[in-house]
Amino acid sequence: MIRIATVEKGEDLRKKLPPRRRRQTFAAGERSSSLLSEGDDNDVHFNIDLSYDAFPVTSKPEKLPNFREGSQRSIFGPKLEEGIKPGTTSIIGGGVLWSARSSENGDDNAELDLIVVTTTSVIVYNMNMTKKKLIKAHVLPHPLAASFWFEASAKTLVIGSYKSNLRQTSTVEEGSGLDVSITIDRNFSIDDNEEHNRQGDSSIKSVSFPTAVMSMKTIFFSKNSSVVQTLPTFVAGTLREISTDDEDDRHTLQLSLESFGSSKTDNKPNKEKESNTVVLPTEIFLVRLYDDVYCIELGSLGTDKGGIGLTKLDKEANCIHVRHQKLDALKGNINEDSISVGVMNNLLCIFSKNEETTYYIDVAASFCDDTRVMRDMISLYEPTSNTSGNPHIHDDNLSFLAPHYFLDTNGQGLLFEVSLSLPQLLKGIPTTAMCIPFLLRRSNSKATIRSLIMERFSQLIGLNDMSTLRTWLTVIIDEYAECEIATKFDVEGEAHMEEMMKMAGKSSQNVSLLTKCSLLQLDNISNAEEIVFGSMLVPPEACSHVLTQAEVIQMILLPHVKSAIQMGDSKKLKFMSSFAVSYFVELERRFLAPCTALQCLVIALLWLTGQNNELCAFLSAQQTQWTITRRRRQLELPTSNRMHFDDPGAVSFAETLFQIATDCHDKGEIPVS
Amino acid sequence: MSVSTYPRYHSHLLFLYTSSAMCSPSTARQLISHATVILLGCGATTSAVKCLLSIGRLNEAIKICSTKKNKSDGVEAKDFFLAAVSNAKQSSSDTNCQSFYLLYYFLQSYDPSIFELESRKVRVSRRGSKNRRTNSFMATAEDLDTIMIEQSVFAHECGPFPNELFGGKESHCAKKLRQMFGYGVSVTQRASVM
Repeated sequence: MIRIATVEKGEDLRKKLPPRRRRQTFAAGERSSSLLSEGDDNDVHFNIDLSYDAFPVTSKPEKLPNFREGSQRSIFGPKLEEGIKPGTTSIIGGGVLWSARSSENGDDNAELDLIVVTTTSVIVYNMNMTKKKLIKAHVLPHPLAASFWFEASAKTLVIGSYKSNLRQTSTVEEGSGLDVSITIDRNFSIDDNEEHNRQGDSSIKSVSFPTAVMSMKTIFFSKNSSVVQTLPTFVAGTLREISTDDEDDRHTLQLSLESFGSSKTDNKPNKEKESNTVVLPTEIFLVRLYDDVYCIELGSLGTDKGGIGLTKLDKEANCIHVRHQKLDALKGNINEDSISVGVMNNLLCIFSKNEETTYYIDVAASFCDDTRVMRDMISLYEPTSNTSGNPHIHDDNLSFLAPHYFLDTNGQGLLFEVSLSLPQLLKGIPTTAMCIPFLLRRSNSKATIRSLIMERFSQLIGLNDMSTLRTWLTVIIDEYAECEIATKFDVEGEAHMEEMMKMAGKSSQNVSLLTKCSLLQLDNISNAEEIVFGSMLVPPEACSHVLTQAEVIQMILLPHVKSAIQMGDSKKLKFMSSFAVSYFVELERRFLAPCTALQCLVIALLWLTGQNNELCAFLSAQQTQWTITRRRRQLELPTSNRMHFDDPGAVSFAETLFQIATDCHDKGEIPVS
Repeated sequence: MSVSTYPRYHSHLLFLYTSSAMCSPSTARQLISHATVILLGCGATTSAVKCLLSIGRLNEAIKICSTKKNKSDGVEAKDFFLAAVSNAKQSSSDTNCQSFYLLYYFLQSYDPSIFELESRKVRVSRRGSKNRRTNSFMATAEDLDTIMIEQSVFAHECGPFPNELFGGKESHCAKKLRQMFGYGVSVTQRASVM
């Protein structure tokens, strides 16, 4: 009998239960069983008798339970039950899980499910608090399981079962034309140079893979119903190349379903090889990142290459997405005492005590096919010698607790919660690396993220690196184009702003973005701090992962234009003019309407820098576009172009253009008609 | 937008403008034309006319208003006249005569009611032209008298006629234009309208 839970405030419940029903027990296999109360204290203990065996079986993730067909062990007794194999089934260590969910009426956490993870099946019981019944709801059989992983917040359970990989272990000769990456894109993280060398190498090199891999079965439990969803089974440990030294002995790796617990496990050298090449449960983690569940496999490319395997369990699409990334830190044998895997700020963190380094992986970037975006892992070396008496995450006496806690095992056992320092992390990212989407995905305060973005842009502007800036712009605009809320905000935001301005009245502290962009009153162009902390144009939360036009103008363009003007730096002003024009052009290229503030800024900058031809061409092009659009509309032909009167702030924009042109007129430079 | 109170450039900007950059007048013209197209496209005719008049683009403003049957709300005949006066300060009297003739014929169609004669009380100086104070604000209560004068509504509202732009008050052109715009002869000769 296993005591599996304690329910507080059970006194009332115990009183309600009839005395004759106390101290009854029920077997796991029964379809419906009563709840019981036991104990002399005020708590009620619900006990479920899952085993008649007097000798409970214990197992460790790295040591598989040694049950075979025909074993004399009788765990569930002679009674055959669904999902239970006599002599084979046992509860995997820690395999008793509680899962609360909302009821059909919508009451939060009103229903309680008991999930029992056994070596052969997952049995789900539903606890009906009203009827005081425990009903077996689901039995989900699976091959003999080695381990399981449960992500509580996403209610996702993954069962790992070893299976034979003999069909794939046959030696593949590289250069023979056979593609060893038919099913999984394993070239993703391999350097181009390395790949080139591989292709150019005419010598035949044998590559072999382990004989056993881990079959992973995924079960999603619903948060508001008893329905469970399963994913197609995927396999972990398939790309673990056996090194050349291992190759001679590869035939001795006989870790398959048939050999689990067989006499071959007694062969120590083979056992060592097995641990080197076959994926172990301790090398697999289940984490939740960006509201998706990921299965992480450390050392997924073998001992020579290290690597990390990322498998996204896509519940909506009912499929998985796999990426493998090289990670030198995971080369060789992974020492589980040295390596810990956690999650901070939606970043996968690999803490390496031996190297005193933490590796950060952004899975959103890893799964992104855009080569312009930074996809490399970020490593942060933090030597323990630098600490001044304060506890350090790589201290030996600190134990990691997922997802981001450290327990000081000395003294009274203090628990530390670690958080991510973005400025420190950015030090490990090259200046030219496109990390803006990475920054925008972080959950830090908006002000922090904005100031860091400004800093990154400022570094590039300081270097006059227009080429990289243009690349950054294309990335920013591509993401912006996909966010309808952001585009709508830019179009409608200005109109609202104008209305607000009219209502509030114009003052030095209350100037519209359009007025700022006219560059007529330099004092009204807010400085960087004001833009970040006191901005009037705050985009909605739903588009916090993109940079709106208003933000690009306020955070990047205007501050640098202002500083160029203040310093009398016409070269920088011209650079900013080119930058603004590039931004404008990239927006139009994607059929996005540049906001009137940006149009105004482009015109003001071209005007200020005396680029007559460019400004005239700019104006002519716009008018030509309007003419074409007008004509197409007259003929009722489809057109995605916009007319000037489609922009809500067009009138204010035109009036501002008059103001810009008037300055010249005031000096008598425009001949009066 | 307050057209009459355009913000001025900051000193730093002025540095840049004077140092090199600044666009050419032709570019400025194109910019103004661009802005006008936008305003007209948005139906903001009044705003367009006001903006044009504020920078002395009288002909363009007249052209816009000529195409409209009705008078634009918010743009008075006085605004056209003042813009014309402002422009005329930089031109010869012959050119001015021509532009004021054009203005007159435009205003006749734009707002004919302004040329209707109306008798209003006008405060005029009692003294003769010799001792007449040039600044009406300096006139004391004893110096001023109130008389009833009949002239056009336009003349009442626009103040004294700018004779100096047409070769002086005795010039034929000035006399003719005063008559056309409905200015009373005696008043324009010796009175300052309050």
